[in-house]
Amino acid sequence: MVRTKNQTKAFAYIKETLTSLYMHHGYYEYSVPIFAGYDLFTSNKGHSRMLPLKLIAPNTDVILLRADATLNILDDMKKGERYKREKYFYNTQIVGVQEHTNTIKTNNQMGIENFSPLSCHVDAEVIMLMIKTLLCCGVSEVRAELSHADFLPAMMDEYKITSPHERETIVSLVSSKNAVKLDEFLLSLGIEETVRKDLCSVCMLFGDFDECIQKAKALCVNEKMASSLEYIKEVYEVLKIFGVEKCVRLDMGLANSMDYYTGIMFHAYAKGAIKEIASGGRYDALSKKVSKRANACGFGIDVDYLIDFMQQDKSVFKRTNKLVLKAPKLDKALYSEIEKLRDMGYFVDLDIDEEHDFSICSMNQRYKSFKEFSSSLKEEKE
Amino acid sequence: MITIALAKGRTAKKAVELFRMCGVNFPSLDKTRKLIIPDESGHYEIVLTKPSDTAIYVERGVCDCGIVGSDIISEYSPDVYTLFALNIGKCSMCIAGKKDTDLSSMIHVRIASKFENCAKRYFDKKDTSYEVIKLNGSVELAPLMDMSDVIVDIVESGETLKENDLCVLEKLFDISACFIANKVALKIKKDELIGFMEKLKKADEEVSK
Repeated sequence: MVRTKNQTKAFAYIKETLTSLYMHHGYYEYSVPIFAGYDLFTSNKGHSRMLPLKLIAPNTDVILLRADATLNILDDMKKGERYKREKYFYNTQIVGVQEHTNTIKTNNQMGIENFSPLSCHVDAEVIMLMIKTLLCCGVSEVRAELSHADFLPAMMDEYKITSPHERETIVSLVSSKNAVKLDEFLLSLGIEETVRKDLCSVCMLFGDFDECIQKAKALCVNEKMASSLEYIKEVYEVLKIFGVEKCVRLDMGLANSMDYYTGIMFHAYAKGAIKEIASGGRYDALSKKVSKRANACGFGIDVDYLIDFMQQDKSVFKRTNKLVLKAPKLDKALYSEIEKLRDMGYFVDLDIDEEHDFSICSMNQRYKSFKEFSSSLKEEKE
Repeated sequence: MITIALAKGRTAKKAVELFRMCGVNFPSLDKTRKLIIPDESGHYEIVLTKPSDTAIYVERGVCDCGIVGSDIISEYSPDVYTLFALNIGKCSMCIAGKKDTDLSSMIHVRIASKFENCAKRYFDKKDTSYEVIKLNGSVELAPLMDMSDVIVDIVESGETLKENDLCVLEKLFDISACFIANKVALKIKKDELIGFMEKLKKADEEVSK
């Protein structure tokens, strides 16, 4: 793939910023293996919408080119040593075949996988990092929506909807928020009106956290549904401590296709984006099966889309914290000012050359002095 | 501002009538050749698109919502919310061919269609081997010229088939126009979009009574 100069800049910025963000929170980089056995993909539910690209190994085994970051990490981890708190991030490219067009596609992804024991703090940390991932990349009006994998299935259990096909159809219709078709389908199953109304109302159960949690509570018909909401609330309380609750919403219609997730589920998008930029959740069952780790929670970001989004919204770069500082010579006083900027969270690229006039350049603004830069920060705050 | 993608033609005209019942007034589509038309209040805007492209405009986020046939949703599976089906644009997806065509006796079926994926999905479930010939219009020609055995296409009144000595062999599914929304726009403009959707639903129910 050939990138434009601006795309290259954005990609380098994302890589650098997010690596630093994740490492500051105790995550280490995991190098995602390039190959995986064919069975890994066929016997487990991957996340990729693309079909895997198959290769023939010298011993004639069928192997797959990196088709899913999480699955490959889980598979690789089973060979390694175990620690109590394993927290990783990855930056990789996945490969697959697009079903309709039969073309080979690659997709850059970054994300984190946290294998710490289950707790609302761990889930909240992962969600907070998903939000910060977008904020660090200069994206404004970030929204993270939460849901729980147990909520809709527990409701279906209560109403005795047990056939896998029926459950999958309901999940798919709830996910596409098609309440009318869902009602028709439930009617064809002979489900009574009040139950149909409750199930259909899940489609539109999204928006403000407190308002939606109240509405969701009114739909609870068993302990499992109630405890899934309780858990989301616990996570929300921790998110308040992290100071990111303004970005958090609820969408109980965010349903769990193919039982991939086992607990909290979430995704993030932003104003002006055409689709979600990051998504994730708790996937204990898959982790236990493949990596023998009992607990896992993580998210992935579509880096290619994030780059496109950053290109489309030029003001994004204005909000990023990358600075290039040009000066004719370096002295102690200047360097101490630079260190202050770095302490404030800026990435400062220092360029010393006798030919240079002093300047501080952000992605799309040039300042002639520290004073000018500081006053622009003050203006922004106001 | 809410931007609505509409498939040019009959669906757009009927949709504009429904919008009027919701208190959203656009000028008559017969009187203009513009593709982007604002309403009187300036709060709404319709974008007239080719039917097969309507969902793309919504999926790509340049339009917040749209009205598109369920045949297009079924064929292209766009990544949008399909919020409800309207009572306009009703027709069905059918297999059609010459009157003496016996699909059950064929070992290999040649299918001509604009709806490649719908045709594949149906014939994948059958035991017969098949090939789909992708066409972009006047699909009825294919069996007449003996390029295909059957066609998979939309049938509304059946008049075109009749005039070309073809008939419906099997109905695959019913089609109607659907109200779709961009996944992010629905969240960001929740109150406006849901308010508009509820009014539209009511108007549609009233008309179909």
